[in-house]
Amino acid sequence: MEAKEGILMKKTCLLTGAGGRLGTAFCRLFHQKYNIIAVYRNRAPDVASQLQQYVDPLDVDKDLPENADPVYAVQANLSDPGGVDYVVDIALAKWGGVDLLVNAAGDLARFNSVCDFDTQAERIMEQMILNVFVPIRLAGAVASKFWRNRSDNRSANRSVVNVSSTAGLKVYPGAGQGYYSASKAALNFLSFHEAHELSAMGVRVNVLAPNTFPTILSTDQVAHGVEELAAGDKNGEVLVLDRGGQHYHGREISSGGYG
Amino acid sequence: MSLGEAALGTAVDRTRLDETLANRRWTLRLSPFPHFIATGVFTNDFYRQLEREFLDVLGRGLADTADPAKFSRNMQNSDAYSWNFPADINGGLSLFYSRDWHDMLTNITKTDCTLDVNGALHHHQLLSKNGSIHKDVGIGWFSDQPRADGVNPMDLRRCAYTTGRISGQTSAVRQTVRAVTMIFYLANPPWKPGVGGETGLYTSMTDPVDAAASAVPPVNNTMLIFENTPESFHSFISNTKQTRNSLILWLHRTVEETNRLWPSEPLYSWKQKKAS
Repeated sequence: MEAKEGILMKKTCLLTGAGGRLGTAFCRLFHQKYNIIAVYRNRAPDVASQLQQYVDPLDVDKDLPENADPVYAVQANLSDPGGVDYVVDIALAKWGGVDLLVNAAGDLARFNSVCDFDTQAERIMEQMILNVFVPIRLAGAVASKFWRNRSDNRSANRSVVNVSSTAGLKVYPGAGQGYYSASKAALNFLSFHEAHELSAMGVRVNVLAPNTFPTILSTDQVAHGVEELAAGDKNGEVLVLDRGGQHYHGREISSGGYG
Repeated sequence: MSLGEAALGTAVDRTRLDETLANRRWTLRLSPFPHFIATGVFTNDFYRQLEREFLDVLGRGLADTADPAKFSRNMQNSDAYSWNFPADINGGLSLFYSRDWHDMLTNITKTDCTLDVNGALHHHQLLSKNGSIHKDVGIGWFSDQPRADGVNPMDLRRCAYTTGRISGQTSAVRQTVRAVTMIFYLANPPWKPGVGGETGLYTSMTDPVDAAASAVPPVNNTMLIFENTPESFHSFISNTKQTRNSLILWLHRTVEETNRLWPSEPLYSWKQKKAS
């Protein structure tokens, strides 16, 4: 929390994919630290919100800690035209700003073969839109509507965390992940460019690349990875969470020209 | 003040519930209408006991005409087989006819109930048809044979629940209205999306059954509870891949209380085609 004019101000987090495992875990772990705008497509996050709360069946009037600091759940299809602006406008109207953007919404679809594009083209494009373009558009929308003051951005340590995957860094053959893997690799590189561009405004952009959860990693471990990037000072880095532990994988910046 | 009102706001006697409840964090969801979802409701031991008792009844076979010993196809608006709780039910299932359980349900739903309860086990065979969307603000008839704790269980030997037809030594019956519905899922194969058998919750009576605003899957040891109101639209969704088993319990309120709450709401009578 930030001190502002003597008052402890909670930061605001715009979180996508809030109904998924990672999103729900992030809400559960960090709802006291952030005012969370929890964006979901079909299933609302299973945490206290304006849509649901918890009750002790044997003591219905008891104040439960799980009900403190509820998230604000917003149902939206971010792939729809207007979906990105809709959730950003709600976040700004509700809390007056966005200090942290966590792009955790993802399309995990697998396809039989990368060579069989035509018969699966529509779904492949849907996956690309959600995994690659929506996160970039969201950051752009927040930047244009709110992240206009470099000094404020730096003092609030504002940042973007894009949730990618180890599949965006290496090839898992035979898993049907060709297009998913490509979408995450694209997200990684667009994040690097975004980090470079938004650094001029004092906003950091980083990527979290976890292996599979909750089977190989715990979902809480991944949620803490998001928070590590949000709370730190790194920019343009990939935090890789894998079987053997975690490490940072930096972008390689050309000294000039273009590729 | 009715008996139900006397129960409101009082502490629930926790002795038996403390021993059996494993989850003390039930979720109250507000959409499409207020309802509670509780997962992992009971301890493993008690859940297994309930499951054994369910399977014991199921093991007696199915009947296509009313048979108090077996699951029977005896509900006019449902494709399910039902086994109605006897008034003197014992074993683990008797928990649901206890005052503790009754008061807990009225406390969480903040309803004013009459202590009249009706419970049953339901068995949906594979490919049971979709139900029709309904609200369950319907009339239930009771004779009086209260237990020592005040709960008055349905006794079909004395009074027909849907018609009030008197049997045996009964001299008087009363009309009540369903106030709280509880569905507990048990003895089911592991559930995964696509196998069906959910309880659909809807925003209106005209919604397609397959397009529920929210669908509660029949995951074992999970419970759905809601107050019956003019907006509590719900239905069984066809189980396309596996059988579906559940326990259902209804609490009731007086006709007067129902008319006070919703003066323009017509009370459904089971004699007519399902409209409520």
